[in-house]
Amino acid sequence: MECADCCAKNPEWASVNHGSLAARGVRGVLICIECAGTHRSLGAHISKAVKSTQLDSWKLEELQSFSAKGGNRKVNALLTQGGAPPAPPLGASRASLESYIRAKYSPKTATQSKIGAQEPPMSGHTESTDFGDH
Amino acid sequence: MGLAFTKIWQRLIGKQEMRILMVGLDAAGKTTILYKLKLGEVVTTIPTIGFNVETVEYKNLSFTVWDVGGQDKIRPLWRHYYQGTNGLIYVVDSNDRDRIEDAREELNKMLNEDEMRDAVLLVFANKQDLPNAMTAAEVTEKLGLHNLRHRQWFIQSACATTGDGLYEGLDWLSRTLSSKR
Repeated sequence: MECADCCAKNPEWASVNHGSLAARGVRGVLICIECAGTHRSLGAHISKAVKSTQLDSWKLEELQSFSAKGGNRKVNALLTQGGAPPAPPLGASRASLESYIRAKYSPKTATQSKIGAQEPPMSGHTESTDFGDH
Repeated sequence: MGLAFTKIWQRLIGKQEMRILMVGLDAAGKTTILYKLKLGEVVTTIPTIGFNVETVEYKNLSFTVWDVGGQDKIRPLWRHYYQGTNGLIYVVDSNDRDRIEDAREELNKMLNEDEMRDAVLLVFANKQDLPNAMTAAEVTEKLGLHNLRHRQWFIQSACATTGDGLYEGLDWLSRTLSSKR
């Protein structure tokens, strides 16, 4: 498994998107800790919930919603359709990764919004679960 | 006697040392604040696993600031940093309305701990540059700060990346802690 943004091995962080923010873009990717840092710097209004698969607990609904997105490859395909910026090479600077991530995840195409909007809204359950139990 | 002499000496020649614990939910901006204070620069951060610690000299005080990771499963580790804490800096992402209730719960849990009885509380209502950020007044209300009893507290709106508000917060800490000694 590789980071959805920079291809680093064994990504242990996730950019989750759920609820009312679904329409802002497609999410549900596993990323590395460096890219997690970049996602967080975009602000909660853009990159909602960056979570660790190890150090955060996940609600069952979050986990279901996350896996329903279909994984890195599928989400990346959706995010990059319609003229996405080219991914920076391995070992690229933090600055170039940041502008790539910003461009990639900012809401723009109608398709992305439509797909995001179809996501079922989160319910209010608070049951916690460990990532990977399901 | 020796300790008393040390204290008098420190007052005469300057720097009193203060232990500051900085906590808050993940992605609140703790590490960015720490390094903005230490280096005057905006550093690129990654989620903190464990802690960062830096000494920040300000006015007549030397603050040792412990910045502890805020990911939800590692929050129980915060308590290992409580002992000897003079001041608590609680950082809130003012733009994250969905988690302000979690922030309130974590804060109250911590303030109820016996070891934190004497610590003064500074809240940074951070990320004021982001659209739709809650004002310091809103954060005050949502955290229930007015209900705190036997606690000296202060809230400061801040933006870690520009540095706005950070030194105002430290000013309050230094005034409050100096007068406690």
